[in-house]
Amino acid sequence: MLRRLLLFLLAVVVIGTALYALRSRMIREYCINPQAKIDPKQDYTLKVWIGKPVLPNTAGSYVSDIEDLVATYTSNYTNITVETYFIPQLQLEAKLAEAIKGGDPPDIYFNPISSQVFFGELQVPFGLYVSKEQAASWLPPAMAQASANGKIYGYPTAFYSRVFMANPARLTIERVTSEQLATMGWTWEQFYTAVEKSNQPGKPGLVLTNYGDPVLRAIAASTGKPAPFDDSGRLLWSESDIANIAEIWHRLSSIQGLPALNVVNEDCLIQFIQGKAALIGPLNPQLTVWLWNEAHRKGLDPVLLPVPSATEDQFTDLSATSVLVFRQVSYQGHSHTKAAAELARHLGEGLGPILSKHLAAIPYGESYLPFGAPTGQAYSDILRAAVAPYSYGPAPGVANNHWAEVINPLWLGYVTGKKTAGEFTSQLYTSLHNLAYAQP
Amino acid sequence: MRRKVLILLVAILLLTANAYSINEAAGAIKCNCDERSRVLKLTSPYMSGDDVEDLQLILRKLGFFNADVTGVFGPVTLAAVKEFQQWVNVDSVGEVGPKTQAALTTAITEHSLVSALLAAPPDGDLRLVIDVDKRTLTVLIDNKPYKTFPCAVGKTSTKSPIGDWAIIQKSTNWGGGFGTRWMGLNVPWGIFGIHGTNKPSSIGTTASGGCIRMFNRDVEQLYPLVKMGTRVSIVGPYPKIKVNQQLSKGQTGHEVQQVQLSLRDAGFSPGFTDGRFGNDTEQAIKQMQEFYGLMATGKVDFNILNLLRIKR
Repeated sequence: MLRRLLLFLLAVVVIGTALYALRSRMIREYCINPQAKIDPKQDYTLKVWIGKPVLPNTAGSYVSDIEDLVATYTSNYTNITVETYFIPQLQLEAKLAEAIKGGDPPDIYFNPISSQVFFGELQVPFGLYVSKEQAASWLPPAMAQASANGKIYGYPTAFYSRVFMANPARLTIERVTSEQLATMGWTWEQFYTAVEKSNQPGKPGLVLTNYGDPVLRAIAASTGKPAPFDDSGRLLWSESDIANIAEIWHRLSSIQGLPALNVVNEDCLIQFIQGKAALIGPLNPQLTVWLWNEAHRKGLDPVLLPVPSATEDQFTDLSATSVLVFRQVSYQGHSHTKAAAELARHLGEGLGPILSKHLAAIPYGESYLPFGAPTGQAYSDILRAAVAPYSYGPAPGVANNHWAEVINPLWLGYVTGKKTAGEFTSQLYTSLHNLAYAQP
Repeated sequence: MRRKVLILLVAILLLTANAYSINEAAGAIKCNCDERSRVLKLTSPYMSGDDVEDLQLILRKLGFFNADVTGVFGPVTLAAVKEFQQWVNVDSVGEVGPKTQAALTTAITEHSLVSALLAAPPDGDLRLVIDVDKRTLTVLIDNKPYKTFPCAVGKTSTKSPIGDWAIIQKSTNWGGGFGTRWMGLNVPWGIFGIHGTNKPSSIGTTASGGCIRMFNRDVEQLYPLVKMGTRVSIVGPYPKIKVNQQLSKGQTGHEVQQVQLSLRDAGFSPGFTDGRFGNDTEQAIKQMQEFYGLMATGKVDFNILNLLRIKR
């Protein structure tokens, strides 16, 4: 009897020890050691996915510029092979979602035009590889937009600016000049007044390039809350925040004498280039560059002005993009992840100027004043961006899909008069509440 | 291998036709068990068999039959037979009897089908490219040049239509200045095509009213290769026109084509530059509007005309 009991106890101990050892091993597999070194005797293959946006005429050099950048990394590591895949922008997020589902995402992922930095548990918190000193040197908006759930997930690469363009000869503003506004920023109240005073028969004070998504995003950014959720997934937009957004549009579209803002303005560019419109916007980087050159060609001397702020903190609209690192379900080891992180850092530092060249982005960490001062400051003053994330939700495409399928239609319903401000506010607030996503 | 099979088929057909003629001349009683001697026509249900397949193959090689060879005598085969009969001045009744069989044999001989079969192009996607500057018509197979012919193009006052077109008409009896073959293009603003000529000295010059003119012998060689829907690109400098109206899906014409050409120059993909505002063009416009942060309406408005620098 005693012998049986001893044998039983022995079996329990053996099985328990084996299970414990296995568990420890499993935990170790999923625990990343940022101190690991790249082993010069080991061969590594890193997969890099880069989004390829629509780039009229320069798509080829975009690819070759990035390939050159990758080559400068591999030239330092003969044992590291980098496989770079350029994926059409429209397919990028869907492919990532599929890869994550299959447990085999790429080591490095870079979406050149998206702010989303968190895609779930297979993502490597890049902050593990960022020293405290380096993190402290990052500008707060860059840190905020590269982070989710209190962790740094991306290496900030570049910012995109949304601005208005003014014709100083037509813009009537009180007590300040257009140049001063470019550096100081302005509020929506100043904006309404300027538009109203600049309005003349046949010469609008403002022409909008778009009344849909870009306007909503610009207004949201001006409140300091560009995304409806904070980086820990909590709902950030209150009902009064949404009502405030609705009110800004209401005030804007109620300005007497202004052409209807909620219809497609088929000739807004001509209105500005011909010197009729005092203000035009919102302008994305591509249109900013085109219109700037075209206005000068027509003899105008335009000034870029930031998106007006809805708060005293003078927030404007600047969204970041970051390089992200993933691991696979079958973890390839600490030194592999280290190699990926090193490559991410290398790309993060080098992609900014490439995006600047091809997409008029503001490369992070570099002094960049396009269009000359003071206009350049209005365009590239990263410090005026909200210290908040621009995106939300861990699943690939959640933010984009939700925005496109829920938020934007509600907004369009409101601006085209199909919904009242109250309906827009309550329905958007409800839909945001209903959007539940798994907390990491 | 395929070439050998084709040659064998032709030889069999020739032998069969000859044997038939001999039998007929001798007043021999036709043997009903010989399927090859039957009269091929549209019946219900459709006739089918190797003889129909042979017929389709021959008609196809002669350029009258552009559908798949199925061995079934359906309405398409009937139309091809009638077209052939019209061409050889046999009663155009659509039935393949002794007279038509004989005419097929003659046609094969006269048109050197055997040599044409020997020169049959490799399988692949066939399209034509006409270079207005070089005055050449090149047959491309899977984008590789297969054969190049000299041609005449439009005069300065009546330029050939630059753009991407498709063959929508094939005919063998236009005659006169159009020579022995005519292949019409789907240009929305006029009648243009590839054809032969009765003025061979004009080949290599800018002489036509916009059509592509070829030597008769060349156009006859080209004709069987070209199917309805074959893509034809006419390349060369295009006169940039200014546009002063908004355009939307469904519209056609020079201005639409100008937008397509300019979109392509700007790096977008409007599909074929054929002057037809279809889905691809609409998609390219939307893409451009999104690229510049404008409302993606898919319509060519004054903003787009300005961005493309073609606004009058």
